[in-house]
Amino acid sequence: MTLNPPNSVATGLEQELEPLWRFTLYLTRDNHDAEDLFQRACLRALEQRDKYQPTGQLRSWLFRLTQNVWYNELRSRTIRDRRAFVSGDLAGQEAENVEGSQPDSSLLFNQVFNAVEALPEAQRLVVILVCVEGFSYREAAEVLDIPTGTVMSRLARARYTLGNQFLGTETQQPGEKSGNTRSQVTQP
Amino acid sequence: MKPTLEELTQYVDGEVSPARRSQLDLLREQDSELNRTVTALETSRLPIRRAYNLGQYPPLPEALKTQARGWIQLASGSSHAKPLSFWTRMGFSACLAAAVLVGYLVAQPPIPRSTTVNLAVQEAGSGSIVDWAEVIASYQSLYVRETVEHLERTDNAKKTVETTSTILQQTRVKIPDLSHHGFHFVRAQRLGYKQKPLFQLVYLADDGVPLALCFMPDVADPRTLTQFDFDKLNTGYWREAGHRFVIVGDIDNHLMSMLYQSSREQML
Repeated sequence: MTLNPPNSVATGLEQELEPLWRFTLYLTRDNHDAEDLFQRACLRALEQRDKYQPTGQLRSWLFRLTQNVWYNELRSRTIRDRRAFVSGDLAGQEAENVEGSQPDSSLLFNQVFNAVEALPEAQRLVVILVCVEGFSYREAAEVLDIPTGTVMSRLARARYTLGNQFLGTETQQPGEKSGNTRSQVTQP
Repeated sequence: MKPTLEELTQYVDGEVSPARRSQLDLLREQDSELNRTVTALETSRLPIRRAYNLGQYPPLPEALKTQARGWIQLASGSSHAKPLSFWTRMGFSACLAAAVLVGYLVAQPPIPRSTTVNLAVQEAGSGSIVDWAEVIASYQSLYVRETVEHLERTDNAKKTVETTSTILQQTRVKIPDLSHHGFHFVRAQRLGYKQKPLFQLVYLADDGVPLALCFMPDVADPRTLTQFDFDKLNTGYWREAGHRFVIVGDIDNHLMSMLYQSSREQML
């Protein structure tokens, strides 16, 4: 059965609540802001569900809509500088509590997490969308409303930064260049 | 040709042609800086997904999940028949936020134009006026200026007028003009509270957050204005002439009193 756009959004949104929640956390990095953004994103998605084109990925559509809500509505308030959620203490504690993890691997995961979180905002979101959420370059470009080449460029720079950190060398940022188009997703 | 960082990323991922790979292999041997860059990119094959999947971020709170499911349920129900246009016209986010956000309000179907509703007999089970005012205030705290401005931009003005007209016909309560206090009327909508109709009038100040004036039938004894703060919003409620009223906004007590007087004089 083919659902019309409004019904497909209403039905599909329930399956996308967890990814949507993660994305609000990625964007806001603050529990309270994420809750606020999550509520608004759900409402906006349902309000605008007749605008969804079923040919596209619902998740991409939801993420893009959520990002627009974040930038257009919530960021206008004085919440930009609150970053209470991501603290080294919390991240460390969570990593140590992972059942079955070896201390060394926990430390590595914690370091990787903190390294990605420390990336510039634009690069961080690209890394999360591509490497964590499994978006293709094209899908990530749609969500972030940027060219695919820019996604590739940001990802390359992010990988260079991360690689340098784990080599123990000082990071040097080459100038950003537009990459040629690739269709395959690469997991660093 | 000196490779870009993007091309070197393709190189370490094995996505360049064999011919180009040979060229880059040679360049890497000749250029230590290039070799260092490639080594960094190779090192970037880190367990990023696992690092993020190990509980660094908290899971979706159950309360939020339940709330969202309630909204979805309402949306699914409203899209099957007539109510979709109703939701669109009335501002879906405002209806849903009011209806489900705090678990008390329940969205109502549109009132048929030909139906006469006796609002004054619906007192039983509508809850205490204090609880009711708190519910309205908690909803209103989410109803920020940007939300109203968004609704203003997306609304069809003609339909909004029709909605307002319908509400006026059904309630016999007039919409007060609060422009002399700095608030211009934006929209009216019918919500629900414990299976009873609840009407919300939204005003927007030129330089402030929205103001809400809500009312519903209540035949209990009259009660004068009582005020309290909720989430930095001043909330004033009263009861008279078979209705209960509440005003919620980022306003001081003096302005609240003036709005209370103006509303009383014009609404009933």
